[in-house]
Amino acid sequence: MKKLLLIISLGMAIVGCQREEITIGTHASDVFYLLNKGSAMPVRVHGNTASKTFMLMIHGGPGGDAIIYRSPYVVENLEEEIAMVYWDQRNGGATQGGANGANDEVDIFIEDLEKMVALLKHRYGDDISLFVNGHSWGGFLTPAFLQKDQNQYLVKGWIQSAGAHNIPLLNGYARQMLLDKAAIEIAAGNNTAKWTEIQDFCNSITLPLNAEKGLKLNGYCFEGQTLTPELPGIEYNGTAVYLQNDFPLLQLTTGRNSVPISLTNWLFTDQQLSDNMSVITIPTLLLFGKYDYVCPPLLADDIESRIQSAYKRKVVFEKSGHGVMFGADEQAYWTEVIAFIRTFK
Amino acid sequence: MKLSLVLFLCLIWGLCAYAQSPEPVVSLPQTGIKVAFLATPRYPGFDLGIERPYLVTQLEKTRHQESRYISKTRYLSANLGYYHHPTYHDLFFLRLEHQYRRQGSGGWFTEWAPGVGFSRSFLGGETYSVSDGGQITRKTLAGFNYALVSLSGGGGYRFAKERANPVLIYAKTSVLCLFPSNSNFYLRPVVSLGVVFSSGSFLAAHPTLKMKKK
Repeated sequence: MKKLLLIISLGMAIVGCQREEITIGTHASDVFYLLNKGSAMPVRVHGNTASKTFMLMIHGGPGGDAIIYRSPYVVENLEEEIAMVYWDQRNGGATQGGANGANDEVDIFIEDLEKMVALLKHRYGDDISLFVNGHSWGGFLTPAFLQKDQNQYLVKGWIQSAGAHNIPLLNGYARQMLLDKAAIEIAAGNNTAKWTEIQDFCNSITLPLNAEKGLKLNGYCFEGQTLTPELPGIEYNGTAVYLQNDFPLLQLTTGRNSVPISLTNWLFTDQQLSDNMSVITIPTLLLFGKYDYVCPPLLADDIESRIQSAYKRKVVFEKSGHGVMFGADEQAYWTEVIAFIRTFK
Repeated sequence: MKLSLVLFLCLIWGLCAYAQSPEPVVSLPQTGIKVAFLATPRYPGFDLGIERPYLVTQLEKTRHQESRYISKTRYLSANLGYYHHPTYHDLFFLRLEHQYRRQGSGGWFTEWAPGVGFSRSFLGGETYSVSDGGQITRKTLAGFNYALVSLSGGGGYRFAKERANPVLIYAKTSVLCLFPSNSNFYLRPVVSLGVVFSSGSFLAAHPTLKMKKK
């Protein structure tokens, strides 16, 4: 029995003795974890770390994952030039940990992100040029982080990709977009039953919405995208991306657990960051899809009119919905991103 | 003559009846040592354990004057498992299983087992914590303890079933449920391909034997 215990202990010790690996090179592939308040969040850094230019992807959800953005296009084109940082937020992606139920408010996510930035600078140098790219829910978290204290000066630029920075505004725009599109599609005789259902729902609600109605509208927004003939189907093999990156597939259900759901409910109780948007002065790139009912492109106008950045650019992609970086405009989207980074790194 | 014939038949019947009574048809199972390759399903690992029978029910089924024997054995089993999932974690898990094995008159058997246990993960990359003051510390042996429940099912073949110390090969699938994980639970399917050896003398078991006829 003593021998068995000794063998187990030795095995655990061997596994546990992990050598610190920091790759400075053109094809880095580092994986490490940020441990904060009971949650171990994986961080994957792929690409050209020698460039000293890093882009941190801040994923959607809440409860989504970052590695999904590592498309073959990104690997071939962006990772050659810069280092891409795929960070899974707490209770999302491949994050690990135990009971984490109390940490369901945005403040803890902002703290995680602050520590994430500190950790990247610790590993790769204080002199790295860091850009943050928030998508969807990440487009709420990112400006929330930037607006706090002096955080915005830790990064060189902000990319807002179909972000949800103002829920009441989002609900109003989404409702109107769906109503406009429903009228067109019903007149054209396309998916009439479903569009009529969407139209009836949109007509039945009055703004501002409570969380329940807001989430129902959000569901119709996603459905509306699948019914929009102008949006080509997205041929994106997410499973292949997960498998190539050793992502634990069964953790994909994490987004449906109580903590992200509770956070989503909180978000949909009229949370908004517009009032304080004027504090932002760093270069900003706003990228939205024309047919994105989930985070309508008019949200970009609200940010554009409020931030005090000397450089701000808004692009609305004609063939995209909410997954603006995955679909027909993939190349155009990443071309905008890399041009922005080259300018401000 | 008739009486002699009746007595003779009675004797034959008696001998036959004696032959079928309390002796177990298949030798009683013994404590076994299990060694298995484990896959989860893409990532490798191992499963080592010990199984100890405590109840054997031998069932005789007679049909058209032909008897078939089925043996149902309950085991208590303790296992140490491990798998390596690069960049995610290394997981060690200790499981106690209540194993139900049904052995037919051929060598094939099926089994299922509910289990409970404990697991410890080691994160698949260097791990850091950052204090509120911005001080960064590298954590060694970072990981989490999870409670575990599991359900397994599978089957195998028992070689040399008449011997007291046969060798069994088996394949089984388990679903491990680790909790709490991200305030919820985490399910992990694992497949094991293994061998069970029993020496007969190692931790000799004396399972209770029950015989039933149908």
